[in-house]
Amino acid sequence: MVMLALSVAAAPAAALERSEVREACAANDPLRKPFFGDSHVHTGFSFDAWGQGTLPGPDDAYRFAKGEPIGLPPWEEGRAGGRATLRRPLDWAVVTDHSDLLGETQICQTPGAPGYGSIVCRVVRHFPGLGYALVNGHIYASERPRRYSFCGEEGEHCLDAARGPWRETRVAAETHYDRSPSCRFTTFVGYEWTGMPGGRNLHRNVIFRNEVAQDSPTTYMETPTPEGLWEDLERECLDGPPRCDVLAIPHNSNVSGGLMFGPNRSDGSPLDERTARIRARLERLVEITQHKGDSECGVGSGDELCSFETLPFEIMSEMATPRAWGDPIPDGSYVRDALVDGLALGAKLGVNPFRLGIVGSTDTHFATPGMADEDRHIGHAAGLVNARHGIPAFPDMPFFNPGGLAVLWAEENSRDALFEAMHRREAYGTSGPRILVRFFGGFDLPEDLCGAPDFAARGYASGVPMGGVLRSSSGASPLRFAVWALRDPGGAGAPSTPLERIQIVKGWLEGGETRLRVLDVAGRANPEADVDLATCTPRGVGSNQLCAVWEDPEHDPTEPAVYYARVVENPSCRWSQYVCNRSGVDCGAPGGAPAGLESCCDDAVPPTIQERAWTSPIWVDRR
Amino acid sequence: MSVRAARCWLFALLLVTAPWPFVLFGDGPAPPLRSLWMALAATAVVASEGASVTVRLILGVLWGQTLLAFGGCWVIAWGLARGASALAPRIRRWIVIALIVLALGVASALPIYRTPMGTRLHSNLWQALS
Repeated sequence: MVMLALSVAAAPAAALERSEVREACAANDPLRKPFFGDSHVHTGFSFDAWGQGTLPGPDDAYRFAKGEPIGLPPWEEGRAGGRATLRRPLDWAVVTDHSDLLGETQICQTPGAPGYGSIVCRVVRHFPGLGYALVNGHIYASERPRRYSFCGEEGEHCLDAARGPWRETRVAAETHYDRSPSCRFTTFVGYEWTGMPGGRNLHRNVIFRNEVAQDSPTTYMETPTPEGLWEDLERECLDGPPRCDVLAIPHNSNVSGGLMFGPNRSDGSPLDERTARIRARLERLVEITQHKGDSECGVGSGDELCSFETLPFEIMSEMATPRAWGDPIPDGSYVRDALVDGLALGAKLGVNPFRLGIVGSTDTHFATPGMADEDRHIGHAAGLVNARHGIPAFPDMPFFNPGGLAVLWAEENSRDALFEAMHRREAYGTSGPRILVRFFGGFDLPEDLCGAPDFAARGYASGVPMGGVLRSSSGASPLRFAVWALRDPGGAGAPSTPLERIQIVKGWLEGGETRLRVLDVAGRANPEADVDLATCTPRGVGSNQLCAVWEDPEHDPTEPAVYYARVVENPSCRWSQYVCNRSGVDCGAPGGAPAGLESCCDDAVPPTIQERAWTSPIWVDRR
Repeated sequence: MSVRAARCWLFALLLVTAPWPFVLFGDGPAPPLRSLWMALAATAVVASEGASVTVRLILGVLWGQTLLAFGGCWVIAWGLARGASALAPRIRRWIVIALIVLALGVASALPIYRTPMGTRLHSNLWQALS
């Protein structure tokens, strides 16, 4: 049998298409560089963030991302009670405040605004915690959300009030976007569509390519289904006017109750070709990890590394009544399953609706993009742990985490270059560390790539990078993958942990059935590596870099397959262990842990984790 | 002052000043009257806007907590008044007045309440009830 590789993904030689007026970046690398960012950031414009005491807005968030300090609660007469600064500034960020309640948040804090004196706004101002629970319970725990009466019969007062913060969001993005040749920092205009029917999380972050965006963000209350969101984005952006470009990034499938990647449309009818096509057009990436848990795979999957930051509840509204960690979560809730199910749906519909690249982000509600360090976790300001009066000693619910980062391989740090990277899925996510990963696949990849100084050039020349698509055809060459990873170098006080191993996760169809396999391709599980829990110093041997060229001997060119790489660090302290160490908790002491720090002595809370990075997949279509 | 009057005064005093454990939307202690304010406020929101299952649940817990606090205060007031029943009415009156003055004084002067989900963390009586 003769097999030939056909690369159908964009090659780096393709010229960058400019969609905006700006100066060219002085630094431009045709072989692309990694740009670290955060695509999920809330500020005081989001009702839940404001309700928990967050006052900084988009302007402050972007300043923080660039390395400036930001104020933290408690706020008293405009003065912050605490401050935070990023150890290492980001290259890019997107403020994605909730489009829902944008106007309500504005009205309830603006004397004279229609609705300011309503009972709802009064409760929100006088009893913020109660207001937070009532409003979220009213809007997000309902099957059919509706606006409060103070918004007017058609919601006009709240929709009108939302224009101000939306305008300010766009202005802040423009102000902090570096259009000079230095290209130091990039912003995007964005928002979060907060769909949550019956408490099941279907949220999407919407990110525009440049300053041209929708006049008003789409809201869950007016457009209560993902299909409606996609249609809005097609009508009001892609197909214009105004003609613009946009992506939607789903997140927290882990608390979607199986809905995020289910086989049906919102109305219960089976997914059809048209819906799959519009979804595939808009949803090029998925947020695999963030503050509210990891969405890669569930603990019941048989993969021991899937117990990483899983949540003990399956829909968002069960946050207050969690079960034991480790309970199984329904199908349709994890990215890995979606990637494999997508192969089957693609074979059936002709379009794979789940051809999803991978990013991580924080979902901060403190307006602190990129604040993903375990040893500096300050909580999240939107769960049930309240930060209004200051960051508590144990700053978060024990099952949450600081979130992760999104990394884009792009020629330069400009909107067009980064957006193109998102669009072609040349992106990966990390759980916080700045691990570098490159991943190529192809039928002509050289076996000796790992030692080659021109790893990337040859990878691009003979294959496709992460996010790309290969097509099996007649040819004799074996299917190979080259993956290289470099540990986070640390620096600026940031901890750095050696790498343990690289794995390749393969999903494929076999006679119509989905199959899955996880293989170690570089490094190995290292039981000797551990952590000194008292000091959080990693112990044991690990690697500064790992590389492998792996050939899939079982690849069947008549069946579609999907491959992604997972890079795993040696164990390191989880945020909770840092907190407990800082607080000097002694679980053996009479009386146990002090009040508020009980989780320090809860055996269910893991003291260590294995930080990681996930590449976007490479798909191999059947010939 | 009769035993019954003493019980009523003490009950009212406890409702206003007792640092009662508060478990929903902040883990107290806070005066039971604050719990009542919140339950009434939530009821007013529900009356004007309707309620989802979650909001009804919140309302139920709020009222349950309020009734529990009120019941607890009643039992304590009943016990205190019974304990003072052997005293002469005049002495009983002065004891009740002294308790009222002392409790209101301490509660007004010191931030003995903790209202984590309120507008401030530590509150004195007037801040907790405002």
